[in-house]
Amino acid sequence: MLKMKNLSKAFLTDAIKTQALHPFDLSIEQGEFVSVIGPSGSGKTTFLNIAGLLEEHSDGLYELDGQDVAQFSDKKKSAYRNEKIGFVFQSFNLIPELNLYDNIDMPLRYRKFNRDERHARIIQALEQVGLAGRKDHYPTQLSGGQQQRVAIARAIAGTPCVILADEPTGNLDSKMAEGIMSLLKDINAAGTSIIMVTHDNEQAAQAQRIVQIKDGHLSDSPDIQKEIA
Amino acid sequence: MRDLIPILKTLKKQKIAPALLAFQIAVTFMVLVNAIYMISERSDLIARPIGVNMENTLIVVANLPSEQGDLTTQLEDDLTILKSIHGVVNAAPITGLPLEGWGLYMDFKLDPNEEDVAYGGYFGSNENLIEAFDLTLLAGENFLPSDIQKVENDGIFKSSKIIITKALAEKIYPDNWRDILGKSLYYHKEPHEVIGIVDKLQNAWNFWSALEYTVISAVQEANDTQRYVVQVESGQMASVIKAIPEKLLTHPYKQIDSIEALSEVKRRSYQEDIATNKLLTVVCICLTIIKIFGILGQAKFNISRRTKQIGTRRALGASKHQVIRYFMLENAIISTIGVCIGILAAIILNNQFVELLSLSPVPIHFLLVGAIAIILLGQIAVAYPVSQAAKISPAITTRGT
Ligand SMILES: Nc1ncnc2c1ncn2[C@@H]1O[C@H](COP(=O)(O)OP(=O)(O)OP(=O)(O)O)[C@@H](O)[C@H]1O
Ligand SMILES: [Mg+2]
Repeated sequence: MLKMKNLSKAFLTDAIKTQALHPFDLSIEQGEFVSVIGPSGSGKTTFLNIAGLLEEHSDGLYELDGQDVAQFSDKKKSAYRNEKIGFVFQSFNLIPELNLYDNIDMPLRYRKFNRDERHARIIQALEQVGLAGRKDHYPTQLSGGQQQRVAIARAIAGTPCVILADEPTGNLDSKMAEGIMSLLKDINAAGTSIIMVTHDNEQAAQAQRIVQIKDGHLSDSPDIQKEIA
Repeated sequence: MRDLIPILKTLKKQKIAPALLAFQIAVTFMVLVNAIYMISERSDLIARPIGVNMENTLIVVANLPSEQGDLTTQLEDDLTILKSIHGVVNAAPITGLPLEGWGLYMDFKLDPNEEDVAYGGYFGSNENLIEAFDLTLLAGENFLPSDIQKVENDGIFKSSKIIITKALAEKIYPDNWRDILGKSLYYHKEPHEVIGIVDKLQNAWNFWSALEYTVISAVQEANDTQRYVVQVESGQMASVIKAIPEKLLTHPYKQIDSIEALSEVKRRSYQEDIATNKLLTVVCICLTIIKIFGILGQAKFNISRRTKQIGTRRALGASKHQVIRYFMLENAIISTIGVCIGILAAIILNNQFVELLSLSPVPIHFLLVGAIAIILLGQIAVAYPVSQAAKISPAITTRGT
């Protein structure tokens, strides 16, 4: 589903080159739940952004769902992102002026779905995260955990092949975090791949697979799983 | 329209800010449309033709000093001199000037015992005036030299032949203006036979409703301050102006008050209107510039306030173009609401406006053109900030919370 080969990323700012990710290979199959761990500043977000087509990689090959994305135009990349990827951000990033229903509708409007189909998808996604009764509420009327559930509903409503989550529980207390984790696991169980960045080793251990990034070096060895466990 | 409904929903949620912006646009729209309409109305007034060849008509004002004897003789000497100047087509004396702001007017009757049928302005001259002004004779005939009566003053009390403007003929005979030929118009109790009709000749007062109702009488008056109309060949204006003093100043008592193109007389007549229009134009331009910067600033602020949201939209599938379209549409919607309020207010307030400020009501097509212009202006103003918005990276969604 996701294939990275010899992929690397360097940032160039004011003639200073930051090698955020050194060349690495990584393959993730459809349906996998992968945790990404590592110290602060090691390159986790950079990795996730490249995986999510939010940033371009500097070198190497990246194939998402069988397509080499390097040559995509902005328009094509945006559409591909919309169709293939669901994002769950640490800071939720809901649109405050739209109610829950319309927040979930927002990315769906960029697709070719008709009204009825969008409606069905929104309602189903809201039910799945347990907030169907609050579709007319606005984000500010919800707790953090509830907002993150809405964000998850927004991510799954378009039936992406992968959900990318950057510290989805980073702004939540442990009880809410648990709820989010179990929600993500349910979604994964239904066949959607998940790649989740986390600081929490316990959370990371709940994934089938752990990828570690240290100083821009990505390692994907089974040893890490043991180390964490 | 993918974005229309969501935009309407967000505007409804935000309420105050977009409402204020729309209201501001409505006010700007009203002020601009009214001001521009006033300018255009005034320009139309100024642009009305006098009926005279404006390029080649020269006005000379000189004295006829009584020390030099008979005024009529002096006047005819002057005319002879003027006509002899190289480049002069013809010259005629006249009792007043179009748009001079000073002149004679009178009421006209068809029957001395009946009511007035019209009123208008008066010029006394001779058979050369038509050529000296380069007027267009539409019907009837010009005066013959034998028709001309020569007096030193009070020519208006003479019975005489007259030539009138078509506008005056139509005023008196709306169905067939030519019917007036051969009839007599009475003023100061004397009959005046209408022998000719000219296309157009404005009289003395630019603000007067009877500006185009003009009578030319076959009475040549000689006054101590005498006006001459001189028709000049194309391109000869400067040389004729230069030659006149040399030729006309034949003795020490002779004085020339002025030599100027008729266009100069007209410019002086509309001086205040032209100045007002200039001022209004400057105000409109300033207002437009302020408006553009206002919208630009507001758009910039709005976009920087929503940086995160724009990044989110980008991350969730909006392309750069879709971001641009979203914000352009948002601006267009607010502008449209603004001008709709403006148009409604204009229609509702029109009567009050007209009475209170003695403005003429702005016609609806003018409002519509103004509305489109304001919306386009808004689009131009937001184009730059919106193009910057499209550059916001979707990666900001994961960095720097
Ligand atoms: N736009 C950028 N320009 C220059 N350097 C950048 C940019 N974005 C990230 N970096 C650098 O790349 C490196 C990796 O950053 P990244 O955000 O991926 O780390 P992280 O693992 O997500 O850290 P954290 O756990 O704190 O979120 C850091 O050294 C960072 O300073
Ligand atoms: Mg990070």
